[in-house]
Amino acid sequence: MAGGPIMPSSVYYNDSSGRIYPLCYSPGTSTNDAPREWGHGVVGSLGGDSILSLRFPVPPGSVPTGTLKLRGLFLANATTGTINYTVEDGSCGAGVIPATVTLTSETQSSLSWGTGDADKYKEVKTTLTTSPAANDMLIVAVKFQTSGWTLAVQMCAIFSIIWE
Amino acid sequence: MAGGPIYPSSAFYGDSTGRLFPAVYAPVAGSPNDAAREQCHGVVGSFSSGGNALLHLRFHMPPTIPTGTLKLRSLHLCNATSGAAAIIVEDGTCPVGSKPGSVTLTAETLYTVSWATGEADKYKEVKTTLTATPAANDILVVAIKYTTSTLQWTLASQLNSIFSVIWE
Repeated sequence: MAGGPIMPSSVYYNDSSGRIYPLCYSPGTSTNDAPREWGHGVVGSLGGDSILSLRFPVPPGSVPTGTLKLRGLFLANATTGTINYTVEDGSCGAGVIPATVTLTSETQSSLSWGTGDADKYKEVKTTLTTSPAANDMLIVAVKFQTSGWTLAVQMCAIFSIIWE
Repeated sequence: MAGGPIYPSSAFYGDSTGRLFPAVYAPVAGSPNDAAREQCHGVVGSFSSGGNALLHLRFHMPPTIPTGTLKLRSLHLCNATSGAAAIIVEDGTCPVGSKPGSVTLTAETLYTVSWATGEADKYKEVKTTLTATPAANDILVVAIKYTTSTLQWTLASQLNSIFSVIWE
């Protein structure tokens, strides 16, 4: 059976230059009573690679069936521009050093904004190579990459894992 | 099959005067155990002295929607033996490709939760059936409107709330 979403149990902004940070996204325009939302911010015109370090606890018992994916939702008050990032993933059981687990780099993702996309959820689902066992800790690095990054305004990202 | 609970992926305190805030509830009645304190969403006491305030919530829907009725489950804690809080839940669903800040929200019927003798530090529960019918992987957008508009907020102490969504 499909499973998730599981939100990260830990988020670390691995960028000493402050280019990634916790962000409360406030849309350019809004009409309802709940327009604001927390996510992970990335500066506009990203000037260097920055890594978001994530941990996801995998459930006990039976790991859900289906394909394990990292689901990224992105918000930006933009009508033009592109971001690029690479997801790296690995699984860590108890008794293992999470910081030395080998991570597999997935194919780079690219996401572009066009006319009418401002303040809308944009989604990328990345199939993960890792097949974690029950109770493992899934380790994910999201590497936001400056090469080809043309989004001029700050972007808000929200990550979860699902099986579907 | 029943489902949840799902806790908010995001909680924003939409009140520029600071009447909503992250709180740690510390009970005062009886003999506390070794895990007596709990993180909540706080609302100042005597909230009726100001206008309405909004808590903005997001809930990520699972890849398969459970069966049952979708409800917002609210647990409230307060060190009080009298008084009432008044809350309106607004809800809507936002798929990928839509603006969460512009989704139309449906206001559910206002509820009040009241404290009486013997209820200090106890969980009080309200389940609100939601009008929204989110699809798999949608984002459920919820506004909690702490309201004074009907002059029903008489709780003098700080209110502490915990929200989740369930299907049952």
